[in-house]
Amino acid sequence: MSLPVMKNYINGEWEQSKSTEIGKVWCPATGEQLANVPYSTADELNKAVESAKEAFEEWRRVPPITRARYMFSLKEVFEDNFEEISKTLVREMGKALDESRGEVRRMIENVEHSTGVTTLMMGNTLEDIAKGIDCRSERQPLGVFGCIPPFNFPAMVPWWFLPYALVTGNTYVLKPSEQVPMTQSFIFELLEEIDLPEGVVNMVHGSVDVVNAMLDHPDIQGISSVSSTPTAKYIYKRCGETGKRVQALGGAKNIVTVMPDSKIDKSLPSLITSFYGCTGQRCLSGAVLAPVGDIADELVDKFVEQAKNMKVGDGLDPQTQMGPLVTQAHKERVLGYIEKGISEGADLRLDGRNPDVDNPNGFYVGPTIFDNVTQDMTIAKEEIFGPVVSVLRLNSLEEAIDFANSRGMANAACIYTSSGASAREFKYKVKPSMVGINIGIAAPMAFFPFGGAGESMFGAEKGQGQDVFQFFTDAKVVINRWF
Amino acid sequence: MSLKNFGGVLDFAIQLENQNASFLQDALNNPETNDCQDTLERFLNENKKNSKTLSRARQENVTEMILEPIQGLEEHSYQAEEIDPKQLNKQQILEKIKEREDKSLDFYENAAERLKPVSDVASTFKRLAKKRRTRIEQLNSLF
Repeated sequence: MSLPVMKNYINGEWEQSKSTEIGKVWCPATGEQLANVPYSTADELNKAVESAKEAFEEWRRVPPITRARYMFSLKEVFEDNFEEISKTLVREMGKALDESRGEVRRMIENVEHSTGVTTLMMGNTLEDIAKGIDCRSERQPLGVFGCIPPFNFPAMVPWWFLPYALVTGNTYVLKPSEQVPMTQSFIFELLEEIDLPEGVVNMVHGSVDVVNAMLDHPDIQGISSVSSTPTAKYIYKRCGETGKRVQALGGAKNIVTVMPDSKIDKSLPSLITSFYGCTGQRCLSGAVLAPVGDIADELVDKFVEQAKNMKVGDGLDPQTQMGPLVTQAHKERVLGYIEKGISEGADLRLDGRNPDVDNPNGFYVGPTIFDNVTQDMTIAKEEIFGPVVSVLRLNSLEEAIDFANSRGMANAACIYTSSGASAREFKYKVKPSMVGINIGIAAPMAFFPFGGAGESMFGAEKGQGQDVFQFFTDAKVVINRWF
Repeated sequence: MSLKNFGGVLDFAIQLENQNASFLQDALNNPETNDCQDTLERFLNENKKNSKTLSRARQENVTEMILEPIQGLEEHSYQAEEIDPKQLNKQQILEKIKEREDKSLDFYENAAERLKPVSDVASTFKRLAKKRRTRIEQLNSLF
């Protein structure tokens, strides 16, 4: 049976791409193909930008409260279709259904937060900056913005940006990840229910050519992206060359420090979630487990025991705690890191290479744990993006802080402790800018900024929070005097 | 089957409410229950409302923080025998409803204990358990 080729959404119409280059979308749980995705052409991207540019002139004049009302309506549409969105996401990305529901919740929270535009987009005024002269700053939309999201959060990540762009009066072009394009396609079908004006939102499927066309397009004012660090650097550099605003979130190698005074049994469930949630495919996942001092043996034994008992399987199975990896290619990449860990001399305490699963054609790797990892090993340095834990035994809090600060990537860092002093020292000194204290996934909610530091974030303004309102608006300052 | 995660527990709770509602609907169609229709109708409406409450909890209280393994909740311990109330007399129907209410009460009490880290949902379960206790008292007065 031939599968249909997915369509682009341009100027309020679903259009078949003319491209002959087609990618395949897989079901990671079964290894079966779900859909075909077109690698659209630069001309098709241009058409979407043109339509967004045209729509901008009217859309920016729509009162912010009216733009917010579209988002109120959209929230209702999303709530009504919550389960369907969640299940579509599981089918193409593989994560467990609970995780998918959590992701869709976070997506909706951003829609909710964006409705605060009438306050959050306000400017400032100061009378008499000099005698008889007043000054005010106003926040104005800029035009067309674009988004290049990753595969691991197909529902949520575009919505860290998109609702804010819209409520502030900008128009939008989204290129979903070609590995997981079905979720946003479904979401765009739902978007039609709120009757946004034509051209305000557009979606163009594609790969590198569409990305490059977006980065180079003179009418795109800014780009929001989430990717690996090398790709984020590339996007940042190319946007700089074309004078765009950019918020390019990159990769991560997050340390989770466990101090000798931490409560192991209370911490274990969230530690497991930190390392194995989303099968390790998220930028906030724990990657390096760093027990400090004499807690190490007990912690590692208990951690291995819990990880061993995790149920790996199809994310739609209600028994499943950990789903597959997103593609066969990614599975092979993760397996390569496991081989690397073995060859570099780390102790393989739990081997996830052949997990017990119902469908061997799926892209599964089970929970994997390396003990006695050293700082110079590849698995301690590089982002694996899979269910592979590197245990790095340390002697002091200072060592943990130094390790966290020694990586180029500085996305998140967590500490488990009963000591307020240790917690403060840790959060004060570490460079990563999302910090968890007795929390394994330091995920900021919609009303706080999301993004790391160092090579985990390129650009000044982060996603979500109040930062994103700044990103999507220009502060125009008006100084006036009346004679 | 073991209920191992948050979504699984809530899915089961919704299923339980829907099954109980369906049983009550069939019981209401049996003329044997004519003199206790008001109570059974109220129970039926409550089950429908509970199902919506639980769906909302599943939708709104899921975050990445609560993907923690849950242990010791077995579906079969809380499921009542499937039986058609149209074939039963009033006494038998009330006994079957009571059996279902007892099992639901047990489920909500045990699940609330195991979902403590998710305090909103644990509170919802406790509230539903309390309602069940009231319903069981009301049922006892109908025998």
